[in-house]
Amino acid sequence: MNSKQNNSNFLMGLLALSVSFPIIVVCSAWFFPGTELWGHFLENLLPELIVSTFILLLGVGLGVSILGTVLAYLVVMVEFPGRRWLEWALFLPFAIPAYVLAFVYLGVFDYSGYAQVWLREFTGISGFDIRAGSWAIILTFVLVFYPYVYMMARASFKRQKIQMIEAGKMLGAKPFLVFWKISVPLARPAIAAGLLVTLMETLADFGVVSLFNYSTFTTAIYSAWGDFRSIEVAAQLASILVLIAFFLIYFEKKSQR
Amino acid sequence: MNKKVSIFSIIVISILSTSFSAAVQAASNDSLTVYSTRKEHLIKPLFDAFTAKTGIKVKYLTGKGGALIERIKLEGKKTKADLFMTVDAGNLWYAASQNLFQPVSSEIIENNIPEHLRDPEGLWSGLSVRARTIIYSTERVNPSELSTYQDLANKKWKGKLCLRTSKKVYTKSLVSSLIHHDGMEKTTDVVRGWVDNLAATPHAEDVHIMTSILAGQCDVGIVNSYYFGRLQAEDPNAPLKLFWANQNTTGTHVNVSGAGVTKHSKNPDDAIRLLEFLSSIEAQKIYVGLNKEYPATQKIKADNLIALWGDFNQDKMNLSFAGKNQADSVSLMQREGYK
Repeated sequence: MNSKQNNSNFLMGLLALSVSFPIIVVCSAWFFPGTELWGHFLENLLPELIVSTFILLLGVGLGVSILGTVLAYLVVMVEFPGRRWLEWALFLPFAIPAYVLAFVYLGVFDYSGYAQVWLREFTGISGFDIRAGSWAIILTFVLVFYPYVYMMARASFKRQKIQMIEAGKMLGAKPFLVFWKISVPLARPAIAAGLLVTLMETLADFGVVSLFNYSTFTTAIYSAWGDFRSIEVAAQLASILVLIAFFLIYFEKKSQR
Repeated sequence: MNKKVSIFSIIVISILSTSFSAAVQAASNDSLTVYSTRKEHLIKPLFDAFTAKTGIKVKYLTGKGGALIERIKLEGKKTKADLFMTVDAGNLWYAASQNLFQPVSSEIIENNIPEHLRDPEGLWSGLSVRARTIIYSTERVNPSELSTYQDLANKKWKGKLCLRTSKKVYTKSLVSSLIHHDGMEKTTDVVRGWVDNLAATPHAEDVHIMTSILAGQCDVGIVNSYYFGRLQAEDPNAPLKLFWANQNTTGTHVNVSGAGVTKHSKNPDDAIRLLEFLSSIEAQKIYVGLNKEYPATQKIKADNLIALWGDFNQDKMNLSFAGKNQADSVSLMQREGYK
């Protein structure tokens, strides 16, 4: 390596170090462990929030992968009336904060929202609390974040060589097989990238989970600092988040092969 | 040569601009600055009245509590804030614990504002009062069935109760007051009973509690009085009513909006004058006209609200306990699964 490469390596190292500095600080909290507060969080909050977070990531991950990919495939590969308009309209959730969309969905679909009021009046079906359980918040996140996967998958599908598709069709593959065995595998790195961003955003969200009163790491971190003034416990929780993020990045990298 | 000139000019400009801003700072000593989490339309009329009376101008900036507190801390001795104004004794207690305030000893304030609405060390004073009390459906609940917050833990309310999340400071302050009166063990039983009786996941807004009761999801809830005031103004015929909790025991839980003089205020004498004005009958009349809250001073009554909802006995617990017990109340709620 000549000196120019050494210099740029050094600079890159410096940049990487400064960017990762907050993460190092956050993880160093583990060296000051064993407070009563951590015991309280471990016993009373962590079990539920680990399960809740896992279910959320799984549900949202599956949801946006399927929805984003299918929508992208349809607008790129299938001609139908209104396709051009839909292709761009499907980006719209990007323009609206997750919290606002959640507020609207709750306003319409929760017990006292228009949809259920109408349902009760015309069918007599008794109302239900949509914030109970996980399915409604998963659905909300999917409808908010699918554009990440949609955007990446659409770009990938557009770039796919039409010859591959035609080859598949000539060999007798039905449309669904062309989608599943040719187009999707080719688009997999793009889908994985969109999925990764979605899961990071979901982990970091505070507004939607507050509206649904759902337990996640963000609400626990907020409590550790806001209620108990413990920067250590807040940092310990944040470092677990960082660990999860690392795992997600690792799996995404693995899927690139 | 070029490099040296430009570095020199940067230094000169920096020195000039700091001395210029220092001059600006000095000039602004004949006005006060208030950092407030209360919205502009609620505070401007008061400041205008103060300026009309004393000639002292009041500048203000509004923002979220956490951000404003951190800002005052960061500004340190250079802070422009003379007064910090916020809502909920829990938040005032927290600001005091961060050394934001200086103790004020003013006969006028002590005369106007009752003791339980002021910090014992004079760090802050309540300026308006809101009650957090029981709200119920007039179609499905007979008020004779209601009595105390603690009674809402009774099995008879199973599947009928709607509550605010444990994450909002209103809830924390209410539970803090229960801990103060009844102790940790009894309050644990109460919170456990509340959670058992919930008809729905705790609500992120008081307004949603009321719409849930109206829609039939639950029959009773606990809300701040002014939220009900707003709903009632929009829909006078809504089948909802306030019930003054704990009238035969400790009195209805109240909370305050309030303010304190900042530790590093450049103009503490005028700041105290402003605080004294805000506690005066003249200002209290303006204040309560604005937001369907009760006056902090006992010298006047909110006739409009009493006409609507009847008078009630306030809990006389000193509101600094709302903050002192906050960590305990949150731990308790987290242990009992009150989300």
